[in-house]
Amino acid sequence: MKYNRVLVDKNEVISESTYSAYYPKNTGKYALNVVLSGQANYTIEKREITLVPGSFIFLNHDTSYSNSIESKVEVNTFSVLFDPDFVADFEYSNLLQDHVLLDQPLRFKERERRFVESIHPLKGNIKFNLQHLAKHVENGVNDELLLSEYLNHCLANYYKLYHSEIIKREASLQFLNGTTKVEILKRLTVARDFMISNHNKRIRLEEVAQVACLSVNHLLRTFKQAYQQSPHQFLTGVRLQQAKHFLRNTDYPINEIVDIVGFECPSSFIRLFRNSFQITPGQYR
Amino acid sequence: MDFNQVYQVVFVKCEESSLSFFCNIPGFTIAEKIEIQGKECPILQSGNGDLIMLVEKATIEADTIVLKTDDCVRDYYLFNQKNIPGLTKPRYVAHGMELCFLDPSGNRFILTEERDYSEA
Repeated sequence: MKYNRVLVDKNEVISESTYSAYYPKNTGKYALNVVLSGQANYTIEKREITLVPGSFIFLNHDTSYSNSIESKVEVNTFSVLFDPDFVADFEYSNLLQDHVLLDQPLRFKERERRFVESIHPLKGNIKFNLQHLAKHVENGVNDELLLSEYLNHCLANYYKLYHSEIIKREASLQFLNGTTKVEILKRLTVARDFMISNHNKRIRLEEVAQVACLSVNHLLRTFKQAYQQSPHQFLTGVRLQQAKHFLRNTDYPINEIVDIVGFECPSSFIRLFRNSFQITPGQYR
Repeated sequence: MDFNQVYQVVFVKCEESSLSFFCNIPGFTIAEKIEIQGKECPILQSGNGDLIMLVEKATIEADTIVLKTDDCVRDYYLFNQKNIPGLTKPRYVAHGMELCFLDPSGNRFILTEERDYSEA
């Protein structure tokens, strides 16, 4: 087991490699949790989710959650815990106009932002900035100002991602009432997270709908509106991405990967993989 | 010196002040000095291995030079500590991230971190 924790002012950066761990957490900080390899299970209030490689979740400071790792392969995780004041200050100084900032320099302490908590793919700039941050932490850099630059960038990247993944998708839902849009998108993210967490199992649409507290028809219609694809297409995409991860990072035989990621037969997996990425799994490897 | 490596020629007003400027930039080192038409021209290497040759000239037109880096955020932080003139905050562009700074001769340097978003 390897555990490394660095303090950046009141924020924390934690990297860990382990086979087994349990953390009953309620840190009072916003938490950006990434799984780099293996799987980590989270209990977020009443929800059970599994973080898979190449994904992350951003949890609110007041969310009660625990996480556990129990694995035969080593699990690498990386977390950034943001102090609520840091997030509020970031938001306040980046989103408001200069004259407001000058008139009310401490107003940021009054508000606390709550995000819709959802699993996101680790891609784009947030991935690169987190990689740089992880490398510096690994190399023992403890220059708070430098690490703080990365935290600012990661937060900026997250806000941008949040805007495109949550705010814009909320807006794309065809409901008149704003509150309804927010509530529907929350339920859709629960459905999405359930599919990501259970992508390696046989999932029925009724099950997804039940978890999200939506009827099957309502789920199908609103999911398509928000994500421009059906739940089945989304699930296939998650499985293919996971297959890519295993092809790139392990020497497991393709048949085994097909089984691990939840496809039923190798031939349909190869066909789907080729159709999606214009390359066969063997060539990709 | 590996002559297969390509270096970019940067015309400067004063070699001495330019050299001291670049030596003050974190990551830049003098790789070698070579003689061109009886004049010694320093070759500098950036942190990422890019080479630039400083050539002194009485009248110059400010140029734009693009260099690569593996970490724009780190470079911005380090350059900012050294008060590098004309330093801009790193900004996100289509191919990754970049920042700019100016040398004493007014040449604009773009430091670019290429990011492959296709696999990301």
